[in-house]
Amino acid sequence: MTKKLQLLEITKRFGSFTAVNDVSLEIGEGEFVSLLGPSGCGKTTTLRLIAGFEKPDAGEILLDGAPISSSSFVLPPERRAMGMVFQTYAVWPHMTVYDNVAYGLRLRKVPQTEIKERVAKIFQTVGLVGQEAKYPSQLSGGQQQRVALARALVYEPEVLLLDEPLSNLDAKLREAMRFEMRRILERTGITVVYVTHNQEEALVLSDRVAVMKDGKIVEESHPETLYAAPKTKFVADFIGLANFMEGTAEAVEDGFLIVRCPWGKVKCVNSQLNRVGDRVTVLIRPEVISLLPASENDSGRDVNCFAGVIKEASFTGSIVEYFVGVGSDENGTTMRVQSPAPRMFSASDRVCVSFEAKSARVVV
Amino acid sequence: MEAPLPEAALSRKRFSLYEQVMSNPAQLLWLMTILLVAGMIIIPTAYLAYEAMFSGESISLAPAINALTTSRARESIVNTVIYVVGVTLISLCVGVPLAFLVERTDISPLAKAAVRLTVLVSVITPPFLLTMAYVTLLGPNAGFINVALRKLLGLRGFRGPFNVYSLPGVLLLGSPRSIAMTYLMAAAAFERLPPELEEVAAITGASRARVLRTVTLPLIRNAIFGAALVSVSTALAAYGSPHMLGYSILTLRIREAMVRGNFPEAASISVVLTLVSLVVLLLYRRSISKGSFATVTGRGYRPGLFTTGRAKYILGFAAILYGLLAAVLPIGTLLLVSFFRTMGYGFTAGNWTVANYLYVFRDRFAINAFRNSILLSMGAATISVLLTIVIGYITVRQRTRTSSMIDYISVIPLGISGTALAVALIMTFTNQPFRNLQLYGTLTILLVCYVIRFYPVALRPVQTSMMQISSDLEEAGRSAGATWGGVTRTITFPLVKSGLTAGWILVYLQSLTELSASIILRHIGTDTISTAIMDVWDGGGGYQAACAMAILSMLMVAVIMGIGVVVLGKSFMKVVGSGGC
Repeated sequence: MTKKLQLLEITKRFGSFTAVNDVSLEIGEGEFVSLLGPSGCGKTTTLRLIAGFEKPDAGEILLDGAPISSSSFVLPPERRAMGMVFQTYAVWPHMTVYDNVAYGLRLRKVPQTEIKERVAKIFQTVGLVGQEAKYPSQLSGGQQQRVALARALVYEPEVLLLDEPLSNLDAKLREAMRFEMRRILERTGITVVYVTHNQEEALVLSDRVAVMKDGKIVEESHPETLYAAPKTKFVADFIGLANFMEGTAEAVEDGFLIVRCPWGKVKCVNSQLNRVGDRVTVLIRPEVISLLPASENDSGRDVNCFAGVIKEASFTGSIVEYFVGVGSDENGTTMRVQSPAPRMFSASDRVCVSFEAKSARVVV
Repeated sequence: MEAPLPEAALSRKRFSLYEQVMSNPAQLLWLMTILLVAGMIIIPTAYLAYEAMFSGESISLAPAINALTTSRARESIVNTVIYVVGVTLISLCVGVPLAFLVERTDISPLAKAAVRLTVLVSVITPPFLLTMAYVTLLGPNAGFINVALRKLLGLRGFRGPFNVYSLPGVLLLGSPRSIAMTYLMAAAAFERLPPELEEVAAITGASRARVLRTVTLPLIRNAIFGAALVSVSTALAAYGSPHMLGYSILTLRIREAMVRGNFPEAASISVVLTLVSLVVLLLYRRSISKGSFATVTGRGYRPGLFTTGRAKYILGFAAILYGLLAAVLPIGTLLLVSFFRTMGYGFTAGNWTVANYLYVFRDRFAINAFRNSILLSMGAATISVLLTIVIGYITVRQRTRTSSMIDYISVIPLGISGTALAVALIMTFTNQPFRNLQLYGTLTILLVCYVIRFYPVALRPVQTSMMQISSDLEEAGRSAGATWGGVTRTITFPLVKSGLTAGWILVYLQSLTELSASIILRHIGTDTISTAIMDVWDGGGGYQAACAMAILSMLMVAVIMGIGVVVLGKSFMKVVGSGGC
């Protein structure tokens, strides 16, 4: 894949606050990359740096290998051949839907007849046929979102920048649009940088996800890898649900690590290549844990198997959520467990918490 | 045969209006307020119309038509049109670009602060004081700048090169307040405009000029139109500055007719002026009710899409120049002249004295004028706030058709010129039955006039603060265990306090320097600061004493402003800014 967009050690400060701190990222031609992180992590600023709305204090941004932003030079946004969709959609309220979408084509001096054809085509793609003559105020949020997307796509930019485009929609519509957007964007084959704080959105849409925190990229990988094998506690916690157990490495055997925790021993993948004696944090996802009645724990297993008490059990549809207390009162923890329905246990039942060694791993 | 009425029917007997009203005292207050608010406008206007149309025995339009078709009246009408159009154009051409520079570009913060401060100064400084300053600077013969320029350039003769008594002089000196109000409205519109709307146009490929033309300006078009209407309305009602420069517009013609004792003529012109003003006001209300497209977004920072590059310093200088010309130069001049021994010696060593201030402090006429203005302003401010509490409560809490009507009526005074209102009040209080109150020539008629003119100014901050207290807030207090009194003391009052204070100060500020109505209503012993300054300026004490009085009145304004800022914090500045509109 050829490199479309390169961020090289980009830093951006606002006064004394460093919004983006030494960020490097490469995005390939046609790739869909998400910047994921909590609010204030610098993801939107990174996007605005790529768009050319902000000037980096250090570093360089290259488009097709040519510099477009540095601390001394910023190519103005209008000359970057990019398209952008804002969180607020920023659909111009004084223009009809048609005029909104045709704006970029008119700027490019496309002949009138061709504008008509291309707008009609993009309206078909995004599902806005019949809304052309309306004003944005007559449209719903979801429709405005489509206008914003159509407007950004119609002139076929080389890079599409999306800043939380779905966050102002209600939950149901957000999910529907998520899949629809993937369908539309797959068809165009455009390079996309997508900013979101919604992990599901990032996982569903992206080829690659870069998780940001405090202005830095913490981890960057394919969605599956990021979920199944995160390197950091932050990413493990931010993407999906996580249980963490802290303890001391006691033995290394065969790519696995035995960790002693206050309430028992944990065997997990030695993903960080730790040695005996290291303090480590072990990640166990709630859905890999199985619960057994306490009476069945007589086999004498002492690894990856803890006695616990159900504190709370809630039925949420396809799964049942349990909060299980393990260990003693003064030296214990609460683990979150997700099991397929139906509900097998209720509060104050004694259970055994167990999981396979290969589905637990060390994070830093 | 009649059947005896069952008891239930007896208890369902009809209540008379009297009983209905008395059963609910709040309703009585409500009724009285409607009558008062409507009466304050309708009664004087009715007397005005009567005076204009009643000639001897019959009612006709003839006297009005006669009064308006004399060659002098025609001249005034033409002058007014020129004045209104000129001032409005200047205001738009200066105010809107200034607002753009401050709100949308990256010129230096110093220049932005200078513009904001100057705007505030322009809103609270009476235009006639600025004109006074410029007459001493640009008077054709003795204006200090003219004298200096003649010396510098070796010009012959005793006149020019500048002449403040000219059409450009009249229009430019008529503009500072309109510029400030245009600026405030445009700046508010720019502020409300989400920057994304411009940014998305830029990334779509539009140049800065194109973004401005296709996105920014169309989106604030309504606000600009509204600002233009406010300028028109302000210019129609202008009095002080044109009076000093001898430019006869309709308000001057009215005053002159009053001085000549030609009441029907004064009333006729007042009626016409009022009708035109009301049409402008109506258009303005419609333009703002149509609303702006823009919505407020919660973005914390404001990215400057419009970077000015190399022009940064030139534009910054232009912004600061505005501050110099509209505030520093005129006010500085008033201050310096107020310490002059003799006008003719100008800015020379030995020409300095505090005698002018001592004169003001010893002069019974001046002292009396200051006393009158302070009493009137405090009275008008207090009455206005009390009135607006009731109106605010009715319009905010009881959303009925009557309340929206009250809302509407209570903005009308903003559109009526002080001159016309003063004439109308004189007609009212010199005819039966109000004649019996014997208010003509008293301070009370001035007080009535100030209240009618300025209570709408207090209404907006009071209403805004009342809107903050949704009944949930009070109910939450009650459910937390507070008594009604406790809720009023700890929740309701703290929330409306700032609005009431802001309203009081706004009315006080406006009343303190009111000129156009006072100059018609004043009588022996009831001069106000403004009318006294005019008299002293016109010969009763000289330029220096007038400047000393001007500086003293501006000091009083500054002190009140300072109190407002201390009590209410920075938000007060915003209220003052919007209160002028």
